[in-house]
Amino acid sequence: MAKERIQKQIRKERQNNYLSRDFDQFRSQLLDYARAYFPDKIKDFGEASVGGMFLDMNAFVGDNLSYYLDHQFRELNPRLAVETSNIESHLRNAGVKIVGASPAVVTVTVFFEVYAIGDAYGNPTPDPAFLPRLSQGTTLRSSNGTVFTLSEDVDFTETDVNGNLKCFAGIDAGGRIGQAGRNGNFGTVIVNRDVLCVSGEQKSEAFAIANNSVPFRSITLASPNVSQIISVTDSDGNVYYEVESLTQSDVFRSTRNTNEDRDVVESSLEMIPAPYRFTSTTSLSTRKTSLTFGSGDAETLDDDIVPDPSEVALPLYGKTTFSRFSIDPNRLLETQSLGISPRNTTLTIIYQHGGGRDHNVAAGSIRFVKTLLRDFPKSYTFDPAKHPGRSTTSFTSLSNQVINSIDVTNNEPAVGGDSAPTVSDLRSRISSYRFTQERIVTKQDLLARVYTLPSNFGRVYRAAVSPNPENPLSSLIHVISRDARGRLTTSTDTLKRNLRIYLNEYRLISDAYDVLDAEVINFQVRYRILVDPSYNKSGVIAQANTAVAKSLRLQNFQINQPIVRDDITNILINTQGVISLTNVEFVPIPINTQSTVLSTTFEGREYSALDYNFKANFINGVYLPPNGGIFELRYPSFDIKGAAV
Amino acid sequence: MFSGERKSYSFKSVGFTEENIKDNRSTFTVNDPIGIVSPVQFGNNADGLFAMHRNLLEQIKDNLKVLLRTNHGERPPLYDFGANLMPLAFDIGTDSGDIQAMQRISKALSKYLPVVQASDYEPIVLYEDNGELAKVGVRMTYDIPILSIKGQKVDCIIYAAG
Repeated sequence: MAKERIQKQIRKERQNNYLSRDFDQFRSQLLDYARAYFPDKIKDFGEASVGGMFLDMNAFVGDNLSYYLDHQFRELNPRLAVETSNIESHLRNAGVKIVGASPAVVTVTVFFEVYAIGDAYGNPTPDPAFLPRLSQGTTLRSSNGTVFTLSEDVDFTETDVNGNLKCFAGIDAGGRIGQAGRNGNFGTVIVNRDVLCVSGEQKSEAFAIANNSVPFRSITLASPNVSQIISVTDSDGNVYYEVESLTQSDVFRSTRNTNEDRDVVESSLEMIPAPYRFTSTTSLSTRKTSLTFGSGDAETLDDDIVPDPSEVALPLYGKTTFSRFSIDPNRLLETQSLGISPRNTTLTIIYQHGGGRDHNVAAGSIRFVKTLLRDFPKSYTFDPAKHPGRSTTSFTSLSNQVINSIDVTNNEPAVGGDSAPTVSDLRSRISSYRFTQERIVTKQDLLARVYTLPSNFGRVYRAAVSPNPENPLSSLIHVISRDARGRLTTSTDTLKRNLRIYLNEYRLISDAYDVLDAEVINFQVRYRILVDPSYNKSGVIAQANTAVAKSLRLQNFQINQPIVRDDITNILINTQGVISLTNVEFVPIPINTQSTVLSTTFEGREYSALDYNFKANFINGVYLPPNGGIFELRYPSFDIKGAAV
Repeated sequence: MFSGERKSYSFKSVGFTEENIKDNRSTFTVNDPIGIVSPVQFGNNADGLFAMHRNLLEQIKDNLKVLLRTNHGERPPLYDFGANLMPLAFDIGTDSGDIQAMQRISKALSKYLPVVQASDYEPIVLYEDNGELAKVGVRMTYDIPILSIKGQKVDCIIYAAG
C-alpha cells in the first residue's frame, strides 16, 4: 500500500519535458519515463524487443509531429516557406503580382506606298482616302519567328496641331516619293507611322456561363504567361473591367487625347464605375491566369450597381453650419456588392500571352506582316478625278494595292523581354511590397513601383532614385534595361513614357519625377601577378580571371554602386598559386573617332561611349560612378587582362 | 596420503545435463516481467495487458527471432533493423547465399543484440512431396556469454510456399 501511495505521489509531481525535437530525444525521454515510473512492469526496451518497438514507434510519431510542427511554422514565414501554394499565398497577401515571361516592347515603323494628289503648292501629298487605319491586334513577325502585336490603333490620317499629316512630312521636309507622277497624276508617296508593338500573340477564348448564380465565379485561361487581358465582354454587351481587388468599384479609363496638347499628352484619364469587374491571378506553378468575378447577382441587383456620386451630398436640416468631417473618397462610388458575377451568358476574353529573353529581337529584324487588321476612313471619299491616268479607277482595286505595299521595320532592338521570374525572385519582392501602398511616399515605394511596371510595357533592369539638385520637390529616376544578350542598354523612350504614365497614377500631387537614362561605364581590369614557379602561369591567370569576372558580373551591380578596388585585390591575392600582386588597375574603354554619342567600338566590340576618368574618381580606394552611372564589365573574356611575372 | 590408483578426468568431456540446464533456466527466472511476448497476446492478471516474459533466456530468444524475421525498412524509425534475410530466401542453401545470410545475421546481432553470439548456422530448405519448394529458413545455434549460456538453438522460417 505504501508503495502505491508513493507512486501516486510521484505521478502527481511528474516533470514533463516538452523540449524533445527529434527521434533520439523522444526515445531517450520515453525510456527514462518508463524506467522511472514502470520499472516493475517492463524492463526490456532493446531495439529487438516488442517493448523497444513500441518505444520506437512512439518516438517516431513524436519526431514526425515535431517535424510537421516546425514545417508549419516555417511555412508561415515567406522567406522560409517551401510549398508552392503557401509561397503563392504569401505573395498574394503581400500584393506581389505573379507574372509569367515578360514580352518585349519595340517601336515599329509601318510604311505604305499611297496614291498621291496635289497639295496647295502642287506638290504630291497622300490622298487621305487611301490612308489606312491599322487596328490593335495586327500582328507582325520577326526573322526568328517572334510575333509582335500592335498595342494600339494607328491612324494614318491623324494630323498634328498644325493640320499636317503625321505620316507624311511633306516633300519639302524630306517626304519620300514612291513613283513619280505621270499621265497627269501625282504618282505615289511613302507614308509611315511609328507604332508601339508588344511581343506575344493575342488569343480569344469563349466561356459559356450557366444560368445559376455563383459568387466569386472563377475561370482559368488556357495559355500560360498571359501578359495582358485586353478585354472581357459578355454576350449581352457588358464590359468587365480588371481591378486590383473586388472592393474597387471604379476604374481609370485611358482615352485618346483630342485637345491641342495631343502631341504632348497622348491619352487622358477618366474615372468610370465598374459594376462588372474581375481580378486576375496567376498560378505560381502553372503560370496560368485565372479571372475571379464578383459576388453580386445581376438579376437581383437594382440601380445600386451604378451609383451616382452626386447622391452623396449631405443635406443640412435645421442648421446653417456644419463641422469638418472625415471621408474616404473611394467610398463615393462604392456599391453594396463586390461586383457582378456573370450568369446565363457567354464571356469572350481576349488576352495576350507569351514572352521571354529571345523576344528581344535585333533592330531591323521585324520585317513581316502576319495578320493585318485595317480599314479606310469613311470620312474621306475617293474622287477618281484626282487620279487621272491610273490603270484603274476602282477604289477597291487601288486600296488593295496600297495595302499590299505595306512594309515594316524596327529601327531599335526590342527590349524588356525576360523569362518568368523565379520563385526566389518573387519571394524577394515580398519585403519591399509590405512597406508600400497605393501611393508613392518613400524612395522604396518609388523603386517598388518602377520595378513592378506591368510587364507588357517593358521591364526596367536597374533603377535608382536620387534627389534633384535643381528642384527640391523633384527626384531623379535613373533607369537602364538589358538587351537580348543580357547586356545593359538604354531603355527605350516608349518604356520611359510608359513608366512616366504608370508612376503618375501613384505619385503625390506635389511630387515630380524626372526619368533619365542611367549611364553605363564599361571598363577593363588589368593586373600583374607573381606566380609560384610550381604552378602553371596560364592556369593561375585563368583561375584569377574567372574569380574576378564572377565578382564583377552585372548581377552584382546597381546604379550608383561603386567598385572597391581592394575587393579585386583580395580576390587576386587569394587565388591559388599567386605569390604577390604587382599591380591592378581599372581602365576606361578608349573613345575613338568612330564613336557615336551612345556607343563606341573597341577591338571590334561595342561599348558605351561614356568618357569616365577612373583616376579622377578613385577616392579612398573606391571607384565612384557619376550620379546615375552603373559599372558593367561587358566582355569578361576580353576585358580582364592578366599578366604573370 | 593417497594410495592405490590415481584418478584422472579430462575437462573435455565435461558438459551439462538436462537437469543442470533446467536449473540454470530457473536461475534466470525473475518475478518482475521483463518484456512483451512476441507475437503480442493478451496477458493474465499478473502480466497486465500483454503477456510478458519473466525468463531472461526466453526474452533473448524472442528478441533474436524478431531480429532474424525482420527485414530492412520494416521498422519505420530504424530502417536497417533486422537481419534482412527475405531477399536471400531463394539463395539460402547455396554456398554464397549462406555466407551472405551469416554475414547479415552477424551484422544485425552486433548492432542490435550484442549479448547474443552466433556459433553455428544451418540452412533449412524443405520441399513438398512434389518437389516444389515449401519452406526456407535458418537454424542458428548461439551463446550468451554474459550469462554463460551455450548451445541455444533457434529456428526461423523466412519464406513458406506451397
